[in-house]
Amino acid sequence: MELSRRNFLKASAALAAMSAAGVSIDTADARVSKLTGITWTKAPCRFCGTGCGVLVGVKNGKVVATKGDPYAPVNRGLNCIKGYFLAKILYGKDRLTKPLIRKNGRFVEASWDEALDLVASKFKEALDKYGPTAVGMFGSGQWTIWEGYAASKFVKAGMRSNNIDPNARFCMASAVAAFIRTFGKDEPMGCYDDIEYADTFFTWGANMAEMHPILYSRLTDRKLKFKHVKHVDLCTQITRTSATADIIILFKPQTDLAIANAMANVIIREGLVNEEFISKHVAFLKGQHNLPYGLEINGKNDGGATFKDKPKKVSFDEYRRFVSAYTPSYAARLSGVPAEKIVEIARLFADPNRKTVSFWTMGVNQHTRGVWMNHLIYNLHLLTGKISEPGNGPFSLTGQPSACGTAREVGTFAHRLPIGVVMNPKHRALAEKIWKLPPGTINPKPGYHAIEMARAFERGDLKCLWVMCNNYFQALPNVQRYRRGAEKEGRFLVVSEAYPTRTTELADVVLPTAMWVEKEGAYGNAERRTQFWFKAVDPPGEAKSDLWQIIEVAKRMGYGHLFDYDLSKYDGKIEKALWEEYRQFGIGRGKDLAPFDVYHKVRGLRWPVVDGKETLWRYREGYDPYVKKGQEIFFYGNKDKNGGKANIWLCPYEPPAEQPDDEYPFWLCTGRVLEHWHSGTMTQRVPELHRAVPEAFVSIHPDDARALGIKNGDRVRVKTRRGEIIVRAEIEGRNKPQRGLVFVPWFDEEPSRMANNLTLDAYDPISKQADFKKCACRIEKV
Amino acid sequence: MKKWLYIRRSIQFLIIGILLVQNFDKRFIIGDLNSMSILGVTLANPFTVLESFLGTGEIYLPLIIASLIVLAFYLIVGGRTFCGWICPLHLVLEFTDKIRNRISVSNNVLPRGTKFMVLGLVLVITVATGVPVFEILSPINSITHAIVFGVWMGLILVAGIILFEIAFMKRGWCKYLCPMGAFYSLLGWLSLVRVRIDKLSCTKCMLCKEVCLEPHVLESPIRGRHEIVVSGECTNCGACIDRCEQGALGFSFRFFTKERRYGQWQEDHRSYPSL
Amino acid sequence: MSGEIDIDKDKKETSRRQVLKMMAGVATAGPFLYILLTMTGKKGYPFFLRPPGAIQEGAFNTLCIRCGKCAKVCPYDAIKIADMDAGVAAGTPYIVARETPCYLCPDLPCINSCPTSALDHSIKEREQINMGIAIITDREECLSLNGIRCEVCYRTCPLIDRAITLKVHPNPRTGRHTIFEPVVHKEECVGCGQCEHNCVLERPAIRVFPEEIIAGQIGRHYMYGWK
Repeated sequence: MELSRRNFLKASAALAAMSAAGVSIDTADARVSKLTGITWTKAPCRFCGTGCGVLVGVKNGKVVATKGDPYAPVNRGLNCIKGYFLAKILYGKDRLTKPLIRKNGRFVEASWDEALDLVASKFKEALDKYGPTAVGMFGSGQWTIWEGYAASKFVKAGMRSNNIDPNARFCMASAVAAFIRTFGKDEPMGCYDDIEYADTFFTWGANMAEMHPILYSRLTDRKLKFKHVKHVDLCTQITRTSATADIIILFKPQTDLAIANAMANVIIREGLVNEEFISKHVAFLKGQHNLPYGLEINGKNDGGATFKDKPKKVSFDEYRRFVSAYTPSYAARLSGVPAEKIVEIARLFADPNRKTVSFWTMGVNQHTRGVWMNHLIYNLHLLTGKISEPGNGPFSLTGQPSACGTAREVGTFAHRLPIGVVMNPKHRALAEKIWKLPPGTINPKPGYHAIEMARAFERGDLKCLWVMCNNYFQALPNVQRYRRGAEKEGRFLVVSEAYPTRTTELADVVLPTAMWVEKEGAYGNAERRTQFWFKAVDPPGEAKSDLWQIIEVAKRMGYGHLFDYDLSKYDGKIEKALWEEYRQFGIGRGKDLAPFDVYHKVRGLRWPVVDGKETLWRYREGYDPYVKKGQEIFFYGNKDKNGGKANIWLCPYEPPAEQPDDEYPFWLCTGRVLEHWHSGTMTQRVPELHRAVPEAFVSIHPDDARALGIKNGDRVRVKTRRGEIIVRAEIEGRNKPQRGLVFVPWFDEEPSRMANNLTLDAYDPISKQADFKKCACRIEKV
Repeated sequence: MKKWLYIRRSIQFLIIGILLVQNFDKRFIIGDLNSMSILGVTLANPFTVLESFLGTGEIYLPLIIASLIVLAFYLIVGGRTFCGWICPLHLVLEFTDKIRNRISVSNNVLPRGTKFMVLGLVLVITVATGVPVFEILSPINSITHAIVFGVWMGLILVAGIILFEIAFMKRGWCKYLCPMGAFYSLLGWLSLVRVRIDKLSCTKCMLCKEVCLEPHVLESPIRGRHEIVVSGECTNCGACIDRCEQGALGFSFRFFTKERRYGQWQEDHRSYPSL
Repeated sequence: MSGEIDIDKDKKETSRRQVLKMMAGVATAGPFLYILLTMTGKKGYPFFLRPPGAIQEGAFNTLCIRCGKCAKVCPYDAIKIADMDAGVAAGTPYIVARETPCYLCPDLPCINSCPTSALDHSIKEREQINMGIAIITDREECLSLNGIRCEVCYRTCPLIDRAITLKVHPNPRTGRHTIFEPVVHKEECVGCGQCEHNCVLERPAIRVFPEEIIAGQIGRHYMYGWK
């Protein structure tokens, strides 16, 4: 029957009433569907790392509507404007439905058998001829957990290569490295509940208002309800987040390193250090300084690719002396922020009567010294003991819906395993045991990470590359260089995608892929909440899930045994088999996950889930089951290294890879807008979102614009040493850059407007994460 | 040899082309026959400007200049040259007339000064109500707006006029109803370029009057009262020039001929009978 | 018999001619009747959003000489020309914000092209424009007012934080989120219509109207003590 608005509303009300009455979703479904013909099922949102819960409405095999899940604790029924359009993202007109093979320069439709046989044979050929370093996969923080797990098995256990890296390398790698180096374990110790307890919020290089909209909504509510709550925004441009901050710290790019050190300095010299905490729970390390940038000089890498840090233990005194060089006036000189303000925010941060939460994302992570910047934030929380309790804690926000759940927890990185790293024989042994592999199967040498993978493909050392669930050749910094590399002869590129993108256009084989609720899936969001969903609709045409594609290719390459489970034990579901095997890694090792079926019944659980109970705050007695009575705080990730202490690292200010000069006098910062997700492949196909923000633009400070004779709406050329784009100038729009800095969003796939034509492929040598926020450009009126 | 017809048709179609071309390239010419900007120079139709001024009591200074340029132009080339050479409705109705001529239908006429009364009425209503009546109802606007903007309802009005002229009244709109034509006629009484008759060549065959839109304008020249067509209602279309088999007609300038009064001429050519 | 007049034949011919004449009359009257009804009948346009700089509506219809140059110079083709069903406003320019709003070109080409100054030449800055005022017309449908993180109208407003600001208040239903309410300020809003165009709903919840239709007016005998 036709869905009328009144029926829809009636049905929504009915469902809400039934849910409130305690009737489970499943039974509620059956009664509601007679009224409207819609069946509802729960899922996490397809977009950001916030992980809002939604209900997906299916009718006649199509997703016809979504709702915010009113009982999801994260969002209580709310969404942002991207989540509002979830029902439309599966149905863009040019959805890929058939495998495509490039023959004589043009795409020709093919059967799955033909395409998969070709992929398998090419990979096998390269593997046999050139070895495991010649094949690779570039995966995704938007893969479901078992897709990442299967990919990891396929690459590491099957092909015995370590050339698997996720697009999360571009977003969270610095955070991960800093977590491990500080706590011995990845991922935040707190959860979103911290928001409702905090007295002070610090947002470091994070435009939460646009990038984590529902979390920002919660932060703002906390401020509205409690007038004492303060928000400090540290940024290089005024954003919608700054618009509600109490104190705005507008600093020159890269000088966040100096500011954070200066804050530590103030905290120490004013006696605001939590001495007891430091003596019991903190150790001090100093790594190497004067680090490289991963750039290629005369064709040779400057050392960033192979960099391995050599930390040495130091004392608190050494740390104090190190940090004392960062006086507020020194930091003020470097950053342009008045010294008094730096002192003020240091005191505010350390105020013993206030609980402090730090939020950060890409401003800190996409940074050539991103790992250090993460450390500097942890240092402040560790100095003051503001960690691992409600309202106190450093909270590294995740960008993607499952960078945590898939990329980081499963370990789909060039150096990782589900537990630990490939370089560690104990970790390899564990993986070989769980994966039932002969000892010595797993390759101990880390593979290519994101940027080096693109470079290896360009050089020809990497012959076969399979890109899944991301838009590599729009997302790479200095993208035109790597696009040219991919177009060279002798490279074989396979792309699994749902829509034609800048990456599929370079592919040799395109595999049509199922999206989101077209397959059973699981995501892990930024607060360690793992959320499952049932398959709701069939994918269109012949599209198939990433999981199916990986297993099919694996079978054809002789690795079928890796996925040969007795499905009768797992309700016939390969997803369940994979999950139950994957779980084995984490149990007892601080990453405990609950059994498969549990997650389908609840609105996610925050790991470690021990005895059915989720963990809200880690490392603290009473909250974390791994911390025994009497221990108070125990950073058990480091228990074998230093008895369970967190590490404060001595990290200096070092300049960025490229700074403005006479020829290129502006800083270029890139990023996103609320309306569009990443490279826009989903949101640009929603007509309303495209209409609202149709094209990339460049935000320019009005004085800079006036000096260049540029008016609002004028077409402008933005040029760097690597490329150029032509976009309209936006002056006094949603972002207000500081003088000498401009901002371009990267959702636009139009070749003349792609932001990554401009960006620099320098990276943090520790995390290998590229810096999309800083390079030098010039602006000209067209 | 229809020399003037060919030249005039070229100009008429050129105007249509100018109106059309801005749908493809807006850099050089934009606007319609109420106001057009050519390479940055703004021109304005003095009649339209008059309507607007009478309706509001205000006028924008540059607008005066724009309309004076046009006014000066028509004072030189002839007031109703607008009608004969520029107006697209005139072109349409000329072709309508050809259709009418193939069907034998009876004709009706209205008093000659009717269009001046329409002009007066339009101006009075505009002053009284502030509503620029002719701008709203103008079938000339209908055609130009259809060409330039693609709005089509006015073309139904034009269709009505076409049917009316075919069925009831030969060249009815232009001769009796168009207030813009009336306005430009008034200008024509002062214009420089005029049709001139060489009285010595004229055989009084009256063929020129047969092809003329407003045949009465040729009477005084043929009778010998004037050497030029003095009436402003002449559209300078040149049909009479083309038609005259004696070559007695041609274009000339008002003050470059020796105007003689009727009596003087009679004296000079006493042997010819008076008309 | 030759020479006899066939009266019947004449009568038939005359009556046939009469019928033809009547038909011709009806056919000719048809178009004029259509035009009359169209011009005076129910309008398809409840109101007009005029191009930037337009003078007051009544005078505008008279001063505008229907040259259409403003429509031609608009680089976004936002300005349309009204057809005869607009009655008095036939041939005049107007904007349909939902289709193409005004993008406030800094050099104001439309105003510069107007020969009569019906688009007032004394307007030099976009802040002086007064095409209309935006207003959230449907507070029930507006996503932002329901707690959804939309505010697209606010973020895409060319006069962000001036013409539209956000008013925050707690979301009473969830108890832990905020409602970011877009609020339009009459003095600053120029009525460009970008908000109406960008509103992501099927029918926009924020619309631009001419000031005279929606602006309120407080009594001149009272002022707020805190302002």
